Amino acid sequence: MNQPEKINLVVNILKTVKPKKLLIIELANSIKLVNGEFDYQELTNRQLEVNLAIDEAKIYGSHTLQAVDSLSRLKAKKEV
Amino acid sequence: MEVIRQNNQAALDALMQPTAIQEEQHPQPKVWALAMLGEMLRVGPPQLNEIIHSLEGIGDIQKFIAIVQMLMPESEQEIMSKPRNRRIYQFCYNFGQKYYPLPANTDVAPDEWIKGIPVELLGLSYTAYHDMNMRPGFMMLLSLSPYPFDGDERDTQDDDVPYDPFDPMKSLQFIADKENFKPSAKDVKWTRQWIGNLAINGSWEAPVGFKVVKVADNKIKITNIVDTPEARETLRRTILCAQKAGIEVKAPRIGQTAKQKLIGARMPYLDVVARIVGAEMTGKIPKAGWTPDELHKMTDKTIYDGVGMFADWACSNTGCIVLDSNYDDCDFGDGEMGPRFKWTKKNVDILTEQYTIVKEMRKKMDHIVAWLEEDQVPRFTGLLDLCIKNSPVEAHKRTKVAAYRDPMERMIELEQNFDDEDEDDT
Repeated sequence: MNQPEKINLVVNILKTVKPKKLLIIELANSIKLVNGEFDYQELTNRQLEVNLAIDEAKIYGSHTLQAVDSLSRLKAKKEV
Repeated sequence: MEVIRQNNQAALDALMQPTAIQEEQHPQPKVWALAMLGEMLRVGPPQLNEIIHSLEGIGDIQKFIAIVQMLMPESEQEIMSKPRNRRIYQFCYNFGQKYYPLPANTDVAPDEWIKGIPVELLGLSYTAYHDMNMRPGFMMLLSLSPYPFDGDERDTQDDDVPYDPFDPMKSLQFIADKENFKPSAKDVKWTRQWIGNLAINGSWEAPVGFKVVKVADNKIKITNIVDTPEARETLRRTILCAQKAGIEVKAPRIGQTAKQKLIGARMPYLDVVARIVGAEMTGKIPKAGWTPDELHKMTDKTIYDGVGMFADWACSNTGCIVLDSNYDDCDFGDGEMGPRFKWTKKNVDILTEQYTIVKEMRKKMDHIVAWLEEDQVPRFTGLLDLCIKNSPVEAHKRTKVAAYRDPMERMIELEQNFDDEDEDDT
C-alpha cells in the first residue's frame, strides 16, 4: 500500500467515526448557574454523575489529542 | 534558606523603590483595559477543558465566595458577576476601597488566591543587611544605626563562602609560599582527570575544608569553605590548577567569617560612608552607632526628620508587622516559595489598622533617603555634624547596643496557613 492509499484509508476510517455525545455537555446544560458558576449544592448532590462525566471527558479528550497528534504526523497527499 | 534570602532581598528592593513610583506602576483603576472588550467579543462553544475546570474547581469558588462574604458582603454580587478572569481584579479594587491597597498580582487563579492574603514583609533581614545590595541612602543611614542582629546565632558561624576564594590570602596575616606555587603539568593533568570523573552535580569534599561541585562540563563551583590557613592555601592551589586546566571556576557570593561578623558587623557600612565624607568624620560616629531613640531626639523636627524613623525600621522597632517582620520570621509550607497568611478578619483588621502608619513611615523614609542621595557629601556631612554635636555622652561609651531582634520572639503575629490544615476555617 503506497502513501496516498494509506491516507485514503485513514480518511475513510475517520468518516466512519460516529459523533460522540459527551455526558459532561449534557450535565453542564442541566445544572443551574448561580453568579455564572454551577450551583454548588446541586453539584454536591450529583457528585457521582459529575465524576463520571469528568472522567469520560478527560479520557475522550486525551484520546482525541493522541489521534490528532498521529494524524498531524502523516505527510500531506500530493494534489493530482 | 536561599528562597528566604531571595524573598527578603525582593522585599528590600520593593522598599527601596519610592512609594510614589510603586503607585504609578501598579494603578488599580475601576475601568478595564480595551483588551477585555476583545476577550468578550470572542464567542464560540466553551472548551471542554473549561467545563471540566468549572466542575472541578467549584470548591475553590465556594471558598472564594466565603472570603468575599466575610470581608465584603456588599460587593459579592459585583465581584461574582464579573467574568471569571476579572474577579480577583474586582476583589482587589473593592478591597482597596474598603481596607487598604493589596500588594497583589491580580492575574492569579482563585485556587491560588484563596490560599492566603498577599502580604509584603518589608523588615530588614539578616542576609539583606550583610549582602548590602542597597541604595547609597540606605547605606549611609545604616551606618548611624546600631547593628540590629547583635547576638544572632548566625554571627557565630562562618558563611558558606566566608572569603574570596580567588584571593584567599587577602587581609590575612598568614602568608604561605604564595609566590612559589605554579601548577605543574602533572598537577593540571590530575585536576583535569578528577574533575572529568565527577558526574554533573557530583561533588568532592576536600579534607582540609571545602567542597567542589561540578555544575557543568568544565565548570565547577566552590562552597562550604572552612576558614583555616590550610584550607585557604589548598583552595588557592586547587583554583590555580583548575584554571590552568581550562576549567571555569564559578565565583560564589562572598560572605564573611564569624570573626568578621562578631567584631565589626557595622564596618562595611562605615567604609562606605568614609568614602563619602572621609574617615575623619566617620571616626566620630560612636562605635555601636546611635540608638533609634537617640536619633529621633537629635533629628526629629529638623531638616533630617526621618532619620530616627529609618533607624526604627532598621531595628524592627516601628510597631508595624509589615515593617518589622521579614521572611525569617515566618514558616514556609513544604515546597512553598513564600509564607501564606490566612484570609481572616483578624489578619485583615491588623493590616488595615497599620496601613496608614506604614504609609506615613515609608513616606518619611523615602523622603530622607532621596534627599540625602541628591547631594550626598554636604547633606550627609550636615547630618553627621548635627548628630556628633548633640550626641549623648553614653553613646560613645557603649561598645554595643542590646539586641533589638530576638528571632525567637519575633515570630510574625499574623495567622499563617499551611497545606495540612483545614482551610475551611476562613
